Amino acid sequence: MSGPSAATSPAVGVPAAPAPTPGIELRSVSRWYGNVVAVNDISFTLGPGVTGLLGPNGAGKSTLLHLMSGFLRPSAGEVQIAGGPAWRRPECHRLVGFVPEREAVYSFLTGTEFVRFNARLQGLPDVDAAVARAIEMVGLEDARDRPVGTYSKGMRQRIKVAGALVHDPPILLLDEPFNGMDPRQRLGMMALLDRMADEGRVVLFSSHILEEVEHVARRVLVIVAGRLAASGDYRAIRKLMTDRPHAFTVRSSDDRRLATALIGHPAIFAVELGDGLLTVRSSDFAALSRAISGLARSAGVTLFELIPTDESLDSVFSYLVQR
Amino acid sequence: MIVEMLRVTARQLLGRRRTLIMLLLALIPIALAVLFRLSDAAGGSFGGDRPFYRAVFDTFIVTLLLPLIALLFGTAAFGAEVEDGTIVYLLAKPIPRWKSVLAKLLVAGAATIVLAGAATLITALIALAGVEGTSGIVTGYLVGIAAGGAIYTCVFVALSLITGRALIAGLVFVVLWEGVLANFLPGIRFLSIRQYALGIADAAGVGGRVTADTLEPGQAIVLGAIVAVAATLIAIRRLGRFEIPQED
Repeated sequence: MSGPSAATSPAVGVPAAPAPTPGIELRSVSRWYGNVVAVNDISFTLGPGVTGLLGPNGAGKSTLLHLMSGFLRPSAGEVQIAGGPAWRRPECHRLVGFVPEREAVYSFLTGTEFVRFNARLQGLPDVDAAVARAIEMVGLEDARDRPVGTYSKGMRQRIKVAGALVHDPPILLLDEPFNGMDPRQRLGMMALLDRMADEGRVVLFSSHILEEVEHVARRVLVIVAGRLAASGDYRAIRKLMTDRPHAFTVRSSDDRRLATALIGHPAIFAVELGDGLLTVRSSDFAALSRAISGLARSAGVTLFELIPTDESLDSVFSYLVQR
Repeated sequence: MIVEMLRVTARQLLGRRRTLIMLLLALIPIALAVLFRLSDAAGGSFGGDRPFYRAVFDTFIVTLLLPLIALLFGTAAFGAEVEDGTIVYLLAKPIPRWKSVLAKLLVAGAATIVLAGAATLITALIALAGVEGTSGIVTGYLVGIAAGGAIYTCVFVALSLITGRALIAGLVFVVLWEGVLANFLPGIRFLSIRQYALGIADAAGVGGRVTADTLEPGQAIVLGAIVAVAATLIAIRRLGRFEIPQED
């Protein structure tokens, strides 16, 4: 390795430390539109590996992704890519591959032409090789010469990914990449993301489906109503979501009597009498279902119905926000 | 990089439907010229005392056709991509924003000038065939139209980055500001691209004033250049600060 003159250079022969993979850092980032706060005081650091951004629709996932890739200005706080601001710095796009959610791609271009367009604008030295490699990575060799307008939704997603990967970026941001994919394509995309992470890249993708996030992401960030509601290993998040108190509706022949019997059980921590309905709160559905028929029988009450009432993802998310 | 941008922008702008509409518009002055020759041959007088070519070139081409073509191409240069979200593919690149603006201006401007220029030339050939000493006038109009086309394009491209309603805003500018209001407020001619175009056409060979309320050729050139440069700088600044519209 050639170096500067011996008089001023440091110890000759010492290899330079490998450059760290550039990452993304958010410090107290907020974004509002008039009175609506889309992203509220979010801070985290992204490093190599796959991170999943999980949240219900409208939570601010897209807004956050656009902030992270320099397409939106933060109203407060800063977004840093590889140590410099993301906003108004076109050079940082050399380091980032962004796959937007919106379907539209230049539909009059063929797959090859679209990827080549991206490759040329990135200023790549060997455009043809990069294009071929990117298309092969997403498995679209057969369709590469057809206009993108003729592609199915899943194929369009994949060609967008090819366009985002063609310049070999160390950071990859994908907005709802599994949308519109059938199970086989989803597996293919998951394998691709795994491979990107194994190569040491920083990968972040958003989704509103926990199962999609679980299979690929080591780390999960949960965003609800613009706030970071939880962050951690996907197993920890899953546990948080299943161990939360669940609410159930019970209809029986004698609600009051049943309520008295239930409140004594340790798995149950709240019972509410309503019109012709009993609402029961427990953090352990399994224990509850085992206990309830026995308790009902010994109290001489007949059970008509037992229904979980808040299984929706939204209620899961609101629970996480309130914690 | 710029070549690739030019190529894709050209394919996008010159899509079938838009080009068809433009070609139809451009055929109108040509049709008028044909009618003129026919009526002339039949002994009629077309357009009253003003020479026919002045009526067609000033009133139709410069006043109507040129701004319309520039509006449609200029607002679509970025407008189409902003609307369908494909602008992200342009912005997600390490390209200085001025290069992107320049590429769009070149394509939209060239398309405008070629189309309006061709319509002018063909109309002139038909209407002025065999008439002596008119080549200077035709050249003058071509230059004026080229300059006006360039200035209009710069302004409309900038407009498309300022508002989502660029088409309407542009129409209001052309019809209301340059058209109706200019009749009541002669000062408007200093801020009217139509007047710049006519003034430049005067300087380049058309000669003589179109009306008493127009610009000196020198004024037209300077003001036109200022407006074109200012619009370009505004476009570059707006693209540099462009924020992708969120759908949430």
